[in-house]
Amino acid sequence: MISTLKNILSKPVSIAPLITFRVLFGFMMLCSILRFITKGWVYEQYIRPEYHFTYYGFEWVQVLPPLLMYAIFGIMALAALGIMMGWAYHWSAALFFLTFTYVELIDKTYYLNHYYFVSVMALVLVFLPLGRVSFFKPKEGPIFSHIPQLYLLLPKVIIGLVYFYAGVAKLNPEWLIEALPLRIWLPANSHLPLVGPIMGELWLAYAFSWFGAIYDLSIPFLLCYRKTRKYAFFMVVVFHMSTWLLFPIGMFPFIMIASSTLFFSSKWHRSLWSLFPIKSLPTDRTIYYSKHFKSKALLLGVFLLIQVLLPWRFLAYPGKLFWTEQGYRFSWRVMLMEKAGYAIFHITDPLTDRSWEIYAKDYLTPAQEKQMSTQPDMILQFAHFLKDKLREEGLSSTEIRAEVYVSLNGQASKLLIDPSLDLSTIRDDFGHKTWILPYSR
Amino acid sequence: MSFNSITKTLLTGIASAVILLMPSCVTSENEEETLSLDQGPYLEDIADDYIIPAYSSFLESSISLQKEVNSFTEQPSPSTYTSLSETLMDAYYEWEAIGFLDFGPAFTHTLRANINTFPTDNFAIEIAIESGEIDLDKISSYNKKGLPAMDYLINGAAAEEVIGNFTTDPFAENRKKYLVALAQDIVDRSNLVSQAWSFDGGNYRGTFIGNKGTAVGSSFGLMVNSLSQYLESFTRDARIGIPLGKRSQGVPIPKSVEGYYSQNSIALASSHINGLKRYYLLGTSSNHGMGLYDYVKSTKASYGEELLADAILNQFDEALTKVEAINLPLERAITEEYDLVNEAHTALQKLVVMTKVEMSSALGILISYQDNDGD
Repeated sequence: MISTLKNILSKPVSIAPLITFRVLFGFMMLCSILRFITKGWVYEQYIRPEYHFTYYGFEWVQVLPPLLMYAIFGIMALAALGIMMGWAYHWSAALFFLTFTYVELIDKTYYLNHYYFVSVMALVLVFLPLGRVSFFKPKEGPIFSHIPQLYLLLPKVIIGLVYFYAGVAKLNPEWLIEALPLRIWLPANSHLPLVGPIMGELWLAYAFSWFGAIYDLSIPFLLCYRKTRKYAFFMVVVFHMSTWLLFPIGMFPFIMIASSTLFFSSKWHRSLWSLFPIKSLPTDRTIYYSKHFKSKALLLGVFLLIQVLLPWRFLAYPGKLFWTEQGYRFSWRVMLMEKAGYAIFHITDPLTDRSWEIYAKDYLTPAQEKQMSTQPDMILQFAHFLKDKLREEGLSSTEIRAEVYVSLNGQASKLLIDPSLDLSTIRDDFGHKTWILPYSR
Repeated sequence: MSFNSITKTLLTGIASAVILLMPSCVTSENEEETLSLDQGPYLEDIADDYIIPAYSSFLESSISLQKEVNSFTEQPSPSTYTSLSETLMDAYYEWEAIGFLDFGPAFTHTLRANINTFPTDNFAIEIAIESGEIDLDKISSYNKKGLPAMDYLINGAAAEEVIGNFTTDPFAENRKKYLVALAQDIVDRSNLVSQAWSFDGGNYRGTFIGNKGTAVGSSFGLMVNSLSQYLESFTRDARIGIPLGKRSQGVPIPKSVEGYYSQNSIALASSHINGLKRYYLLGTSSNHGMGLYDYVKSTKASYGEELLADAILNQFDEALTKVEAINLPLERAITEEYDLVNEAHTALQKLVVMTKVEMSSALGILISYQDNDGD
């Protein structure tokens, strides 16, 4: 058993698919970063806000002064270029992973599954032996054409997991039986010529919902088999281009289309590279060897296990996942629900018996307010931020209660958290949040 | 699989996707407008039945107001004074029906801040009159101009005293100049915005009607975002919440009410909410064009037992009832009729929640002013 596994993992395979992936990944990241900077998002998301919603356990990750934030993005762009070109490959990959993940950890307002996917892939890239192949100029030292299969399997399995778990998450009554939230989102595209007139049709929402679920669940397998691969890739392109045209989804579709080329045969990738002046992809068979292979395999295995288990942690919490969002992030739940909310913070000072109100717009950007108003952990964080603010103003005895109305999938809004509790006395942890009111339709 | 065959598949895939969906990105001229979800007819009615006529009415009122200001400053007398005072209130009521249209040309020309920043800074106005330096174009002069500044100059004291200020007072000439400049500024700014909407002017009407969809910057996006933001900051907070002390650690601020000098806050608030309701519904309940109400209705979104479109309409009425139930002038009611004012605040609070949460959710509108990646 163990020896079979060892044989599978160490079986030499062509490095070509991973070189394509490396180059495409680096290129897409470079484009994403330049797009991010030119759209003014560095300022809008990291410099302008007065407060940032840090992740539990990562409160020490703080935003840097404006100039340094731009420097971080500059380094990130150079590192992406380094990954693409193969310059100081491992350093570039590590630097890219660190800068990208640092930025993502600053504020959970901007959490996106595809940002998380980028972080995961960047970490994997650090461990892959892809540094010997570079453009234009052959590297000194040993070069090799083949690597142990482990290095190709790992990113493929992770891409498979992303799709498959996204599919599993769609297996819920709202998505399948009521076609929610697509029946709310699709009509918003009614102004589009040609396809516009049918966007309001209910059957279309059902078709999209079911097709999306079946697509996500089956695509990893269809990409793996040689006979279905061609059609599967056709579906990948159609699926992601449709989502790109219908929803504000950024670079994600292109990243996924590019990533799925990993499933192509090494012959295809070698033909691709024969078109380019790539100097150091050897034609004769040379195999990469590392004396740390075993420990690297073990490390990557543990990493993969975490990836497999993490999306299931929601099972440890009672209540409706979409409502409480306990265990919602880092689980490939993509475009699953329409949620909107509004939070009113009631302040009472028992010393003077006066009470007043604070609203998110006083301190947060619209993007931050939108996310905070529907997510219990962020509401609690904001209440503690307000407590500190009031303490600075000399009001240390104040009590903070939140009246938060949330609408899930277009339903009439309901109170999300118990408005009678003083949130400034409640601490966040991994336990079940008993102060969230149960979901009712 | 060979390189060629995959390349072919890739190209076919992209081509199919482009053929299927790309035309969506190009605006076509002969689009069908009979479908209930097409925004075109809604946008046309909102522009033609509400926005454009409302801007013209206010422009007319501001021209009448300017005439009365001229008669009064040429010959200050009890009769020209009464006439001016009444015309000012008429203009203020007209303003209440357009002030919340805080998008498009009105947003570009910061119409709201220029016409109705309250409380006005009466001390700064007096200093400007004494020094004779009148500059209404700076950002820092928002709280020294517009209707609230006129309210102060005309209703800031008893009629006799005001007439005296414009005749026997040593700074009477400067005071006249200030009042004339205020009237001129209101006419100029409302004219700018009215022109921008007109076909011969900026034709923003054309832009407005063509800008479909619900993304950030689309006409519906602009309307719903500006409406919910206005309801939050100016209807609920500025008109009721701030005077009541909701934003000042529970300490009421009587001087911050709208129309402080004319003691007309409740009537102003009531005509404001009426304006909002007409904008939402377009006309009366039996006879109306296709407005936001109908667009919300077309989504079939429900609110408990009733339709969301009706629930929002009812909440406008509820807010109106609660505001009109306040008997005393607001600057006194905030302390003497606290519960009544608080109930009005609660009704407006609910209206904020309904537009910001339910309405934008039902329409699929991003409550945001910034574009962002999604997933």
